[in-house]
Amino acid sequence: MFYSDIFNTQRELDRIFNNDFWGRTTFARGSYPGINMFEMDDKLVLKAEVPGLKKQDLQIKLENDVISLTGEMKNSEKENVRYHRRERMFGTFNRSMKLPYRIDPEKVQAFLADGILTLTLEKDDNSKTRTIEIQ
Amino acid sequence: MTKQELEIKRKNELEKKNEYTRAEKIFTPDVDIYENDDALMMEVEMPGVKKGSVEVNLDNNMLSLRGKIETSEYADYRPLYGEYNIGHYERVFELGEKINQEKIKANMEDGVLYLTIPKAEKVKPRLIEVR
Repeated sequence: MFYSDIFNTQRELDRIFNNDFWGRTTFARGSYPGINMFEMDDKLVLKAEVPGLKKQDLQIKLENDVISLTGEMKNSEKENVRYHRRERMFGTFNRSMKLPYRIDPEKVQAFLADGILTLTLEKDDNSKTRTIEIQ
Repeated sequence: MTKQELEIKRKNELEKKNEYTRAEKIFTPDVDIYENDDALMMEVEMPGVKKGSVEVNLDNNMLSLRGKIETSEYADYRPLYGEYNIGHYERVFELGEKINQEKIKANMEDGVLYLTIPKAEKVKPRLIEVR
């Protein structure tokens, strides 16, 4: 069922956010943008909320098992306006994150839509589980 | 001028008198509100909300903004690590004057809702947020 799926995802996220290791205070910890990491089959999926960010203002780099997001959230130029509220944030960002394993650089997919960046990554074949013989 | 570096911000969960029957999370979106001589403009951050999933409603002078996110893709995901929570968006503003709903222009782009609310002749809207 559709709605129970939502509940399960929400519960899973709540579990991650509320467990003792991360604690509630880590809810919005780290630098911008916040990243959620998921696994699906053999793939690693990273999601980041970047409302208003344009494709050309974002750079994604992968170096071994570290992914970095660099860019700038730009505000549009406005003339002769008076502000009542300014809650949106604009500026530059530079975020790096260590991934749980090495990624195949040839199989990285990035998708930016509706203010959400989705990165789909695949494990590097060389770093897949292997049995090590004791000599 | 040095550019300001962005910081991560905690999302605020919507506080409501009435509770919803569904156990979904709803957040209050961040807004920029500004005006010029002709109109009041709003920029409302709703990451994850597609064009067709946003609802702008004017009832008397209460402007309510709702955005529904698509959660079906998360069904197959197994969360490993999280820094932000996901949910729908909702925020209600009281406009200081009566405005014709048909005159409100709404555009959704890159997860931001842009609203242009034309002012009535010689009247400047007063804006109060409903708590």
